[in-house]
Amino acid sequence: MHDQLVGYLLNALEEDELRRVEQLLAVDKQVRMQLVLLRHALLPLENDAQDEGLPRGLAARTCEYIRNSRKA
Amino acid sequence: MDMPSRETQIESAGGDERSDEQLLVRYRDASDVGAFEELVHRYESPIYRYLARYLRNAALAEEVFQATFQRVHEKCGMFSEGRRVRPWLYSIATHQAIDALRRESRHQSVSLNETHGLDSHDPTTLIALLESHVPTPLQQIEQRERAAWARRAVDRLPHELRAVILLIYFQGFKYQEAAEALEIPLGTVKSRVHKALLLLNESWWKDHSRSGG
Repeated sequence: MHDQLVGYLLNALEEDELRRVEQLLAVDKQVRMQLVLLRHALLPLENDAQDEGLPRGLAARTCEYIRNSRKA
Repeated sequence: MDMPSRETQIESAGGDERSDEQLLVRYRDASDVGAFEELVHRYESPIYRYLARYLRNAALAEEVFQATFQRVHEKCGMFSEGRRVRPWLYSIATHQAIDALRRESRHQSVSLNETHGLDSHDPTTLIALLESHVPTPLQQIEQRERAAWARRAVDRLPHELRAVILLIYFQGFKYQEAAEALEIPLGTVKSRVHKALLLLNESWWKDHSRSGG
């Protein structure tokens, strides 16, 4: 259940798993409490929202590089 | 929070836009360079960001991004119907990144795993330390410090744990997709997520008890 709840919070579950967890959450108070605690365990990650800068023209340079390699 | 990960899904979900799979098959079967290049542009941001975090080196990430799509070009004949492109691309990207790390001989850098036991703390124990409801100036400073700490902590995770966190948390992969991308069993993905959370929480305790809270 722990993995499923973490997966639920991370949106990492497939549709059928997601439905099963939601059904369980609807009827089981202890599972809901476990979910609240686990949500706090993800806070270190939520703090890390910094985006990487994207090098300008990376895709275009990559396409050009591969076009040239096709010709070679 | 915003998940940078969703961008690929959103881009792929647009009305008449061809799916990743359609683009790759079009390139494989008809050598449609436009289809290939659309795929490169579609994945420019998510794959570069994944590589930059995985490698912790922007210049190397750029190099590996190019190498990844060079491999996609070379291996597209091996892409079989019914497979999903996204995990396949990330699988290639991850292999290229590992090769690059080996070449650079830097894959055995500082690891959270080396200095701590894994089972001594529950990941839920951060609650009291991390809760901060009123954004006073002091708390804003603390929030920035937490962000910097979190980034360092994720970057210091062993690379196999960092990969699952980057894919699932930052790229929005499902457990199953991450298993495909990393070519590991589903159970291993779940256990690595669990282990990564334990390490992050343990590292938090260690660093903050040392600095007096």
